[in-house]
Amino acid sequence: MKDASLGSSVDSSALGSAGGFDCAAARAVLHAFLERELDPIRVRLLQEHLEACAACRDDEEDLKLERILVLEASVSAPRLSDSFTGKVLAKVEKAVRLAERSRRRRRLLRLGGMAAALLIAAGAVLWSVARREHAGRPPLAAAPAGASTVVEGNPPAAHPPAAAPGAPESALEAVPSAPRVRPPPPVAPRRGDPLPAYEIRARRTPAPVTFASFGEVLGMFERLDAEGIDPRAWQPERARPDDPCRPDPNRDGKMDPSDVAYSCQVLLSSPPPCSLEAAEAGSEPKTDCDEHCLRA
Amino acid sequence: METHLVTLASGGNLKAFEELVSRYQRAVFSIALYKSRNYFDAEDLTQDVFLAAFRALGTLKTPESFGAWLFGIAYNRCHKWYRRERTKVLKFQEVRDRVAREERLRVRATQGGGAAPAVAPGSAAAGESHVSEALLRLPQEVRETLRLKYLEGLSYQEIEERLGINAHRIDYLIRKGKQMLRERLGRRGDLGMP
Ligand SMILES: [Zn+2]
Repeated sequence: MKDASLGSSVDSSALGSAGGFDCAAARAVLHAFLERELDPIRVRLLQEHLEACAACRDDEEDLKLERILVLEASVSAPRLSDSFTGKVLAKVEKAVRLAERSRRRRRLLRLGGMAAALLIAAGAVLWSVARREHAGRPPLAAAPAGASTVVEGNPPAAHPPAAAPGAPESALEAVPSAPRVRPPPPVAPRRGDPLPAYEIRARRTPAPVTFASFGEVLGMFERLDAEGIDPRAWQPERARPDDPCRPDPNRDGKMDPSDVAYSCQVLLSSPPPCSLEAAEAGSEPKTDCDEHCLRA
Repeated sequence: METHLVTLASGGNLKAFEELVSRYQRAVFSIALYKSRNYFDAEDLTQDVFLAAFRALGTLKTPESFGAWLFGIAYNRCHKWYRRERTKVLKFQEVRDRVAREERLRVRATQGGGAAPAVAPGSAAAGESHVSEALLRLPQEVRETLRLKYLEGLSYQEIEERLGINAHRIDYLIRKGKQMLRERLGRRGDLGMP
């Protein structure tokens, strides 16, 4: 009962000098307390008294035992087998083991997912950069927030017009690892063309971004692949305005390798959107949080 | 001490939890049996209750009231189970009633047409399956209060609404009922109270 009247007959008379419960007050409400029928204020007072008073703690133990025995005596039940406790414990232990295993599996899944996403993104960089090289266009464009350096294994097709080599405002730039040579004549790209080797090096941490950015770039490449569109032939002006997989994650008005590099940066530098511990702590359905983690 | 065991168990100590299980299993089983009216489901339900309790131990604010909290889980689970399996329970009840009726007829036949043995009011035949004789022999008001509190798991307030008696009287009746049960069973040595 959340009824303030329970045990109230002792309230005024039996409060100890320090404002806490004395034994008489404690014993008057002990029963209601054990039935979870006592208000929080007196629960606190009683707990303080119990902590200090061994005699009342004995009473408490007696009452608990009495309740158990009364319940057992209220129902005519056959005896439980001797192995029953063991059965219950086996169930609990199994649940503990399963929880531990699924925790590990989810962690692995998440790491695996990130690795796969990174591979896709890296592949997209190579693909996209190859197009630039063949088309004889500037290999890279500046990304406003992302910051990576794409190091080319082969010479670039041309100098980027917007970003001079080494310019600090350029988040993404081509750094030749071999002496520059004349750009080859424009060649129409074909699927399966050999791709030059590139590596992406982070130079600056990207500005804070949402995880959606990375989802966008992955979705974009997935969509292009599903529709059999060569990413190199993709035209931003033909994209539907409500396309959820809108390209150009770095929002610089171009779809180019800087978008991919930017997304890789985001992936590598962003913390997971929710901690695994938080996802597991809740005893309630936690699919929302889980899905969020997996999506990311 | 129980409170200490509860604190240990909520920290993941399985040994401590085992102690709690062995202490409370028969009481939880009684609730499950009262509700399910059959041994097998009652066993499963009891195991589920302890598993759920172990998982939720971290949310228990006052380890001193572990018992009432555990019984709360038991009432909840058993009520839910009952809502799902009501037809099954009624079937069990039907079978039990039929067996009891046949048994009475058989007894009457062997006794050569004498009167059938009286059926205690509120016994299995009267829909009070599994309620113990000891409880059935208590005065009606005491018995009903104990039944609602410990077998149905109602709060004082709910009992107040159901029976129209105030919380003070409910508290009194429960204490009184416990004392009477202790005395009766203690005399027969069934209740090993200190
Ligand atoms: Zn005391």
